[in-house]
Amino acid sequence: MFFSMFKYSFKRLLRNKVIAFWLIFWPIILATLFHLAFSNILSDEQFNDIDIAIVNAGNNEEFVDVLKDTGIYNISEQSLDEAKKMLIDKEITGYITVGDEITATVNQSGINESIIKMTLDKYEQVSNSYTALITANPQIVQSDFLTEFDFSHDYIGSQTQNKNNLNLVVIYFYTVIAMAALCGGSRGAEDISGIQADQSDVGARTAVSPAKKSVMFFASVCASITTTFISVLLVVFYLMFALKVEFGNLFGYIVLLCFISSVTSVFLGTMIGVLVKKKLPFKIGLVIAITMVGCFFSGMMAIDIKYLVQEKAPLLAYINPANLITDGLYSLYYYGVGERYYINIAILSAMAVIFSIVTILVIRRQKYAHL
Amino acid sequence: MHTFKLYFKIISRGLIWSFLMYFGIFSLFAVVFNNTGDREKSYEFSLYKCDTVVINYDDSKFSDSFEEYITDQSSVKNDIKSEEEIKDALFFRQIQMAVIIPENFSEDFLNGKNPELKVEAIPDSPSTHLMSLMMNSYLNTYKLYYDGNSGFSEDEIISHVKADLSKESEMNILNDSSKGNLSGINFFFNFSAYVFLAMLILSISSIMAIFNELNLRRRCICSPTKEIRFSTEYFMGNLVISLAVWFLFSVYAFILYPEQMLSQGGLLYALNSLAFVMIALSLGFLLGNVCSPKIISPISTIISLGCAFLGGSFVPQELLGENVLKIARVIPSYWFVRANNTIAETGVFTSGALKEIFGYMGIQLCFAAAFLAAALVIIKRKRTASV
Repeated sequence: MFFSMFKYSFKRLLRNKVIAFWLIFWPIILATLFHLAFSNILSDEQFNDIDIAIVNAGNNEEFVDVLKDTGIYNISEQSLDEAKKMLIDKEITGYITVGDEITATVNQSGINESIIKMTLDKYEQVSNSYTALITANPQIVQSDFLTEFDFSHDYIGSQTQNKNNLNLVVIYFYTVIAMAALCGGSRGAEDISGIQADQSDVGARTAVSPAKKSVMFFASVCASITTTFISVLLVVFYLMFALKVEFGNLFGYIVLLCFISSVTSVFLGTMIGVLVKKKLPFKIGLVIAITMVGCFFSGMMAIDIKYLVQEKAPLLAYINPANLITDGLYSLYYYGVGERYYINIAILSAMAVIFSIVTILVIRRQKYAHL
Repeated sequence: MHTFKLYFKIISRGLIWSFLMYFGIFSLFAVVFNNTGDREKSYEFSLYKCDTVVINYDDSKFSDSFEEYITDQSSVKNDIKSEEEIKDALFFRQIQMAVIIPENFSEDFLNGKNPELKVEAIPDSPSTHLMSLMMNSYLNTYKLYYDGNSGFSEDEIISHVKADLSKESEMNILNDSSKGNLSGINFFFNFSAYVFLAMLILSISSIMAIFNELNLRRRCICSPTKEIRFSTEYFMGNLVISLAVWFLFSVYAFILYPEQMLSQGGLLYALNSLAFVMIALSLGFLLGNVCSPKIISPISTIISLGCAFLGGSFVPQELLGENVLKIARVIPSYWFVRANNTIAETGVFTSGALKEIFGYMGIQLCFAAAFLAAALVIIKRKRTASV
């Protein structure tokens, strides 16, 4: 009995084109748009050599050599007017005027401009330091110390080359997966509608049939969970292989997270289905609204919101299923398998259990005096 | 004018909630991003201060003075303490660098063991370069005095280093009045591309799809009212709704940015958005004649979001990839955003600048004309086909 009902529910769901669109194709389209729009968004985090011009370079050749030795500048020597024009047209970040004093002219107080300032400051400061040292210890001039001292020793160097999975754009894609999973709730709501005689014709026929309501319900919920799980996996595969989104290497744990999210979302849908006393389109609308609000607070529209909620309102982060899914994927990517992942899994599972208990408690008592 | 009245009855009953939802989303974003806009351009240079966290496990005068120097030269976030919080903050770009001074750092450093500071940062980024320059400067200067047998005490070295590093070079900001600065209002209008498309395509195409429904159309054809009358009233309904939405957004822009809207730039923004509204109108009209009512909602969502993403409404055009920009040229909202960006950057509107901006508006009107022409061809085909 169970298996034949499961089979027919499964077939029915596979043939429902509208739902297939919203659960599979819409996340894929959205993820593709994200991929196209965000592919270059971290480009200004990549340091490129700074373009500068030097005016009156002949006044201090030593300074120009020092600049060239830093290895981070593309230097051209220009006249003042030419340099000004290049700065206005943004061909250079700034130009340096060499005279009695060395000054720089830039467009704004940005990072690269501050690097130019630091370089200029360092040139002046180093000679002051040497002078002060020689004044305090005149004998130092006779030794090799001053010529051998490495003023450019790097105490930070290798540490900053740790490429530690810092691609924050992946969060957008994880929220798309959360959205795909939570939209499965609409299937849960449909299942409830299918056994409520006052909600649909199918429900009325089910109520008069000899089939046990519990078996029917359980079979259709299993079919919903299976199809939602398959849809979510399809979206994950597309992101992983077509769009090359980074997930880390822990595929098994990702599949587990997807399965539990599918279960939670279907039972969320069934719970909404039994608690809300309106027609099916309203219930589906409510599921979609909860999904989109949940995705908003897990960073789909602006990543900063996820961090803000995490820091300022952690309770909201823990009860938002979209955030739990997004955070689970993020923790696998950034931290690997650990406490944070298991906490997300545990809360999602607990939610699934609570939603299913509520659903069963309400549905058990529903009988119809007449149809 | 029955059809015209009916048009607005359908809007008020069916679509008013969608309108309010889109308007609500837009207002939220407009207000949230309002404070990232138009700061008065400062002509005094100030050092860019990276967001950092410093954790000092070494208890010594040297490390304290070093920490103080880092605090002066960057913007330190004091509420982040643990290593996990640091990792999260770095990922979400709330900090650009975390410096952890290990225990015994000062001892190892001063004894020539060249210890490395523990640093969490974004690899090879401008902020990392800036912070490295700054921190190495301090450490190398200190080392110079220490190793050079200067005879100074620890406190004297610290004060010498401080004095040396306080010498700053002169930095000037180029005073170029030909550049404008309208970034806040620019974001408002760029974002409005999405809302115009979403609201107008959904409403116009839904209503046209309703009117084009086969049985309704048959009854209209049988009626004594001429078909041209129907077409005119549909057109007037579409036009009125488009102009109403445009006017509403212009007023909203005026409320949020009164000074900027009263300038030349503001007027150009309003005209540019009117040109874009014409595109939304004709695209909605086209879709209403092509699609059935069931698929209008997903199609309008895809088109509005797609155009917004690829045209540069959500992500600035300068951050979109090369390939994306090549595809984007066929998307109408690309030209709308490009015109807006040009208006934002132009301080003084010379005839050359105006020509460029009006050129972009012209391209948008061409798009609108193309969609309208396609719609008219389809209508003609349907009319000549058997009903």
